[in-house]
Amino acid sequence: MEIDILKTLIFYGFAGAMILFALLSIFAFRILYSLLAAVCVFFAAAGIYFILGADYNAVVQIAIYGIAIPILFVMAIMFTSDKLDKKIYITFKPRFFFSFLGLGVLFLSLIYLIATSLSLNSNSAWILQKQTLFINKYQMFNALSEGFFVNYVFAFELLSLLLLIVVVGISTLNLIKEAKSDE
Amino acid sequence: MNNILNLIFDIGLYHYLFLALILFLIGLFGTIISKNILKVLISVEFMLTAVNINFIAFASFFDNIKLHGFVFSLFYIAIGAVETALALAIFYLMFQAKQSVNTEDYEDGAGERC
Repeated sequence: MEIDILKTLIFYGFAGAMILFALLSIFAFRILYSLLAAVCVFFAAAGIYFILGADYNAVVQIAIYGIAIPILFVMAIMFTSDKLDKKIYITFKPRFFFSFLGLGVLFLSLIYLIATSLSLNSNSAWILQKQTLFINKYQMFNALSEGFFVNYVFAFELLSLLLLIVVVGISTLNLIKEAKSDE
Repeated sequence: MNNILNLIFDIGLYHYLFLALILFLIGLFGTIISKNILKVLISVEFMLTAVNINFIAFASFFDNIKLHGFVFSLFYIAIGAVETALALAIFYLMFQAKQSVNTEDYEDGAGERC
């Protein structure tokens, strides 16, 4: 069986960076460092999409998760910066240990599920299937546009309606708040 | 031995599933244990990213004509952005009321502290 060494190295690089920066993001003392680590996670996720052949998704991931959402977070941090101090870190209450235990059990059970479907059961050869994405860029663009404007056009319109509701909702929340503060 | 080496170095679907599983659990863990509201939101984004990896991995391995997973992933990214914007707006309003970013200061309406 031939192994593509370059692809393996790139995958493990992105995967390792993603897990490392995700942990850093959770355990960083300062919220700004946490945000920077999260941006690295999102960029590494875009790299994983690229390996999987989803170039367009990778670009959208970088544009939205890598740039737009961090700007929102930075603005929130700027608004609240005088209240942010190192005392607000992570909790060490019982829920920390219970969640650690529960998520550990969940992790092991899911790994068991994936591992048993690797080789023990002859009906589960699907998980060993090779990557089959060999379409070119034009075919991908065709498939995406067909997905958006033919197969899932209702969901697409619903999403635009959702965006409109969010914009109006946020403005209304602020108006209600201002009206209450005037009283 | 050779089989195990192949399983480790021959990148297949299960590698992406493992990666998404680990990222999702890290996000869930961060959501539960973080005291800073902004960090909780960042952890939720990790969970969304893990789900996106699963969508794209399954589409890339099994659905190479219609690419439904890619389309759903784009929907999911848009919904994630909407969710973040709305959550930050609500957070800002809550912050104006209590002047705190600590989740434990907002527990008065949510029952006993755990």
